[in-house]
Amino acid sequence: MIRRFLTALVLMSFLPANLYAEALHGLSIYGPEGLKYKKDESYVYANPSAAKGGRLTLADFGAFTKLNPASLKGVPAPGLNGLVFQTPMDSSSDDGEPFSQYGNLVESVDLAEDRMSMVYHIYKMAKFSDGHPVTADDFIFSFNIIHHLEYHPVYKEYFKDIAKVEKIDSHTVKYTFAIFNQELPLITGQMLIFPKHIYGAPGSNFGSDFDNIAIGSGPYEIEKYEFGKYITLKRKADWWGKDLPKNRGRYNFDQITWKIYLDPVAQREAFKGGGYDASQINSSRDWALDYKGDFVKKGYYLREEIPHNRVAGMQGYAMNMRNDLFESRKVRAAIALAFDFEWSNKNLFYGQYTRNQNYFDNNEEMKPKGLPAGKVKKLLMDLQGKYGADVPKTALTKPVGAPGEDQPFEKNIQLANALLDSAGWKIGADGIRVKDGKPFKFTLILASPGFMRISEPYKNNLAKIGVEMDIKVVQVAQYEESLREFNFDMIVASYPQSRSPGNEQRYMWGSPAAKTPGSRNYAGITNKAIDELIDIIIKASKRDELVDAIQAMDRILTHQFYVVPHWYIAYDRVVYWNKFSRPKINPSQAPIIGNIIEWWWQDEAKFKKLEEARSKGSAVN
Amino acid sequence: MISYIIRRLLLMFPTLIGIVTITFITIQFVPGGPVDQMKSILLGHGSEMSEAGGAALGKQGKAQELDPERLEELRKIYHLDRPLWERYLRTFLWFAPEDKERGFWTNFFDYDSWEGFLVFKFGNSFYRNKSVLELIVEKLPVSASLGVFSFFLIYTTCVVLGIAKAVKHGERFDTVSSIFVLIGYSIPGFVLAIFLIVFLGPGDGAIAHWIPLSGLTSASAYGYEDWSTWRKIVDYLHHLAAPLFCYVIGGFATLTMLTKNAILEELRKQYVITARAKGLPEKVILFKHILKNALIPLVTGFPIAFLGMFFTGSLLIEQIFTLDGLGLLGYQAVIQRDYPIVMGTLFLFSLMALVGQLLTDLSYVLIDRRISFEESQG
Amino acid sequence: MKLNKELEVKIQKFRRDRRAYVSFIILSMMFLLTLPAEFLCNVRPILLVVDGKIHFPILLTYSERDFGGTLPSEPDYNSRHFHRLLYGEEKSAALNNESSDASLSLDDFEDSPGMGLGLDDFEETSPSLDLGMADFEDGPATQEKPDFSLGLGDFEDTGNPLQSASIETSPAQPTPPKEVWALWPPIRYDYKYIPSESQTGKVVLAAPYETMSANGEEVIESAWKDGHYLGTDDRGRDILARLIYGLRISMIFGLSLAVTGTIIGCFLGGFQGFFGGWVDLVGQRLTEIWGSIPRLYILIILSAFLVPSAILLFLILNLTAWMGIAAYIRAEFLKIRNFEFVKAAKAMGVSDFQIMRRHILPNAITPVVTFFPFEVTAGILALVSLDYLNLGVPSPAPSIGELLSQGKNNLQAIWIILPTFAVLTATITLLTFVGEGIRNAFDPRRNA
Repeated sequence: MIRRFLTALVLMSFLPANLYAEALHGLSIYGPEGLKYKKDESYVYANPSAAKGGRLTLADFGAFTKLNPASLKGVPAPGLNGLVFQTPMDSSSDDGEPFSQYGNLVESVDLAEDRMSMVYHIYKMAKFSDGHPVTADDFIFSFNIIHHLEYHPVYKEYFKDIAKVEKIDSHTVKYTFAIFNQELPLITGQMLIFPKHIYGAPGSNFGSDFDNIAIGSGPYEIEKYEFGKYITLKRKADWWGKDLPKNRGRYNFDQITWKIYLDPVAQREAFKGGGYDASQINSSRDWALDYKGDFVKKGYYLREEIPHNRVAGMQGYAMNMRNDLFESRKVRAAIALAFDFEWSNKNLFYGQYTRNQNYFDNNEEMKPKGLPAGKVKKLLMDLQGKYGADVPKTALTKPVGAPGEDQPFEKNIQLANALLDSAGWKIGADGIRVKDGKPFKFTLILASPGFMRISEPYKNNLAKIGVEMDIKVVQVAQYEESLREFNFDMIVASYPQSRSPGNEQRYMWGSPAAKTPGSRNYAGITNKAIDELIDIIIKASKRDELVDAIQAMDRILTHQFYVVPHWYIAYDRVVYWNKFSRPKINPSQAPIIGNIIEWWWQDEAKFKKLEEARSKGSAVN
Repeated sequence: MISYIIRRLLLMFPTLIGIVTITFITIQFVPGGPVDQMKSILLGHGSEMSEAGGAALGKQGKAQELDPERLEELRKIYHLDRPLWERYLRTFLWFAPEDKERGFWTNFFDYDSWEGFLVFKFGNSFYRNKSVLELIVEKLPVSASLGVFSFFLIYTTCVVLGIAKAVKHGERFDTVSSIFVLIGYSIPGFVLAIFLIVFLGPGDGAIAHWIPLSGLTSASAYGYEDWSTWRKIVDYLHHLAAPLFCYVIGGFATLTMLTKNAILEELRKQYVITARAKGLPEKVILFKHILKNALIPLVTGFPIAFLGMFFTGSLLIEQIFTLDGLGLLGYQAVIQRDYPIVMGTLFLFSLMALVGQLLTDLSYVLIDRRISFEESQG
Repeated sequence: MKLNKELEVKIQKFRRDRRAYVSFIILSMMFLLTLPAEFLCNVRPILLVVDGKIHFPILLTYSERDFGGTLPSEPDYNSRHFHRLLYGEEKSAALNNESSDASLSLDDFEDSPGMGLGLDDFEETSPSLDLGMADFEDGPATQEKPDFSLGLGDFEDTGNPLQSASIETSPAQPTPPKEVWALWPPIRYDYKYIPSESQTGKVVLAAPYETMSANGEEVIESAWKDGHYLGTDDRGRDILARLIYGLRISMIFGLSLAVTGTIIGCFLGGFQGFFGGWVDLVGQRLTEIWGSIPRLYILIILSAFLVPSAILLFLILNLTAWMGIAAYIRAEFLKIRNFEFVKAAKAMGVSDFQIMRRHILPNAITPVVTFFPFEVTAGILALVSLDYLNLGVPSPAPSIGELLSQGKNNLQAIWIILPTFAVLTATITLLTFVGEGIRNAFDPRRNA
């Protein structure tokens, strides 16, 4: 009480102009009303009585080379973020709140009403693993090293609008922002906090690998590791934060090991031999044909499809409109119609995927349903009045969907042919369409040879509409260079989305981004209606305002046919050895492996059964 | 003799400079550079390249971005903002004082202010805080394991087999062993490796689970520290067996045939006939006289083989058995545009190859005085 | 004459070596068999007689229209669709039905929220919303349709096949059955054909024996039913066809690489060895430098500008393929040039070129011949490993290396790895046996 009072006094004396709202135990993008959990509540997806103990072994692909999670060079070891090093705030994975954070290292937050500054009150009991308390100095240090040349540039970018961090007292820090951004206060909660007395000590260099000194405030510490081979974390029995409400039933394993594999086949085989405990499968073929042997039949390990409701975003063959081949919307639609998703899904993906119908798919709230109505319709009509063809007619008269998804493929091909005809592309002597003496030929570049098998049938289908597509697999560096210079005709583009769309929409669809080398506006979209909608999205301070703008933008994007929509998977494919139990609710917003690490626990009964069955070679009952 | 060695050593300079120069020039034309690669790593684009990338991502699913400004910073870190000639000279010798205020001469006499091959600095990786030498040392366990074991396996087997074949020349043993050795020679190591993991790997379809696929040891297993030394050695050999087998299988033919032919040739020589006429036992003739002469070609190949022993790398076999060795290092450096590693390893290994060649030539002279080197120019 | 006789003796000696000779015969047969791969495995019939009209689909490209279809592209001779077209069941009538269906769907303005797209969806001429509102009424939709298709106007002058076809035969009418006679290659697939349908229901990774379906409930018949005698790969291509085409390209690749490598090697090595001295000294340094050029980078650079192909790989591998042979030729020349008969010829004023051709080359030919089979092997393996690493000839080109990599990634699909492994190792083993035989026959020391 006294502390709070003193703090208030201090604040008033320093910053008389700023009015602070009441101290909060968490932050939400839409103000205190957006917080689902009360101060002493634990997450619904936790099981507070989960058993502690046991071991978890996981696999990681590709060698890690350092223990520093935030430096430029090298690959950080798995599990550093969150388990060893902590951020001030913990992002809730609850489906009921799109973007909320609760204190990790921070007991309470005062947020200025204009959202231009905020104050964190750090837990007095928070300690690093060497016993040193976590203080305001560590927060300031962690902010200042961002300007280090060898700090991870993505984080640099992420935190660039934080103007300064000041110390108010030993456990209070104040953040001031350079610009207004609805998300900024929450972004501060995602900065890794490093101990100043270790990494800021004279002679130490932040760009280093932290070879022997990975000291953080998280629930685990590093027990042993060998670069490129394995790393084992050990749970701190007397961790300072173990009794916090949001940590109840969390971090249950005594030891967590990651084994490193350099070859996907070896990794796959190792799992089936019991080399590690759990794995998320990313290939439809592996899921359909592999993990089917004796051990799964005997119940030693389990296969499970866990549904999720993360926003699917968009993946697809993006057409580069800087190439005038793709300028016409008719042509783009024809190209999209030639992709036979049904065939691919049946034959290549074993029916596991769902077609991407729009840009914010798989999300009840954001996905546009049926025909536009209400505010969305008004938005679209206004924009159509202003910008004409930038808002295609069908955005208003048709629902969102993948081109031709309800029609038989033969019909789609005929329609595509008709569309190309009407766009002025005539069949030439060699069966390739020609317009103004220019043949309809283009190249799809891929960075991953895995897409070859998916793209080759598409190539054959394109030939049926008189379009020749070459496929070229190049190395990552060359691919990135082509992307940076927009020097490609078609790529497989991925546009991931979060539940809280914001600034990043500019990089993906904004007109200025079309001219910025290296932006994600691969298709070269310059659409005034979309530009205006992006502005609305970024400025939105109410959820429904945001969702309306998102839906309007989604409808325009979808009906402009900038990409040939691919697919997404609506569930996580997981295999795990039959020795774990887990809470009833799976917070599917978080990656499934992350949930296993944080919320699952080793079930002694199951563990014993499995051991017994394995030694006898019998089935687990 | 000494002048010959000196001349050979001097001739290495133009070769090494030429090698570095031509590689440097080549690199300038390669599409996509380290900054692009770094961008891909930093933004985690790799994970988006899986089949259903977009949806597979977790809650931090926002598309991340890098400002052109940040890329410019990267270029600076990699010295890519410097003119071409400076970057070229940097590979050989460059004065780059860390602390400019310390005074020119203090810096000048500080080893740390210099970089380049001429001061034995072979560069740092673009993507790791490690130098070429450190990286090579890091990969040595794999390379040396493969190298040393295969060296001894091949040499001992081949000499014994070669002798046996020469003695039983034309007999059934000779024919059959020839077939086996030649088939072994024909099977590409990595193809055999794939075949082996299908049928003997840990997978469901395998006939027996003999081959572990977890590097060189089970060090990641719980309680590995408590294992007895004996168990650790067995574990190591167990992990090594399959890759070693694939690695050596092709190596027997040449050396076996070489040994056999050399012995056969000696057998026809006058001194053998004389010795036989004198009634010396065959064994004595074989081991005392013939072997000494016949093994010359074997011995001369020794220096290069010995040097190479610690630096063997076979990308494909390493990849299949998940061994983190020199083959993989070199390949990844090329693919990822890690130019310091490309140049540094090339320089070091070229130097080693040249020295090895020199040693081989010298051993010819030392062993067989009849060969004169004045004829050959190197 | 003398040379010929010596050669004859050597060939005799080679023929007496049964292992080598038999290997040589088998290898030659394999090569000769795979040479006409197009006639062994192809998706096009060799001969197709329709109503007395002879077609050679294997040699000439026909469009589907030539057989009474509607599409301007080449027909898929294997498809059910094409069969309907030829043998005249429901066939083209069905197609016309569908096409009129399609034109109906062009403005499929039903209120069911389907994503059926129509041509009119792309007309931006009417920005007013009234049209969109009208979409919800059932009645006028059919009336609007003719208006709309007229509005597109340019169909007639382009002679669009789809539209003209639908105009001509709008009433569904079966065309009379045709008389068809076709001569097919033994395997009805080529290396890149991806079938769109299958009788077993499994196009991709179809096994050449009975398997269980992914959910483990039903039995999938062997791919033999579809004519895939070794099953299909991970995108549905026939493995046997890919193996045959792949073996052919590998052999041609290896052989030509060995030939050019040998020629270049003889030339450069001979030049260096004959002149010796400074030429040799500089030449050696250049060779060392040349040998260290990062070939992978050259490959990456060139394939950024050019279309990666077997020819490009061939050129790149030629940069260094000559080195081994050049070293031997150089050594031989260095040795021989000091022999009496060469010195004598020189004294007699014979030109350098003549000396090399007449006196030295015949004597240096032994290493050339003995190395040849091993050079072929090296060429084949280089191609295989580059393809395995995805750096070689890009798919869909047939390639043994690509099959190996597929075999490794699909461990459960042993019908990929087994035959590939067998074919590759058999080829190389045979080559090695032949090489060993040649070496024995040509080695002067054995002649004694």
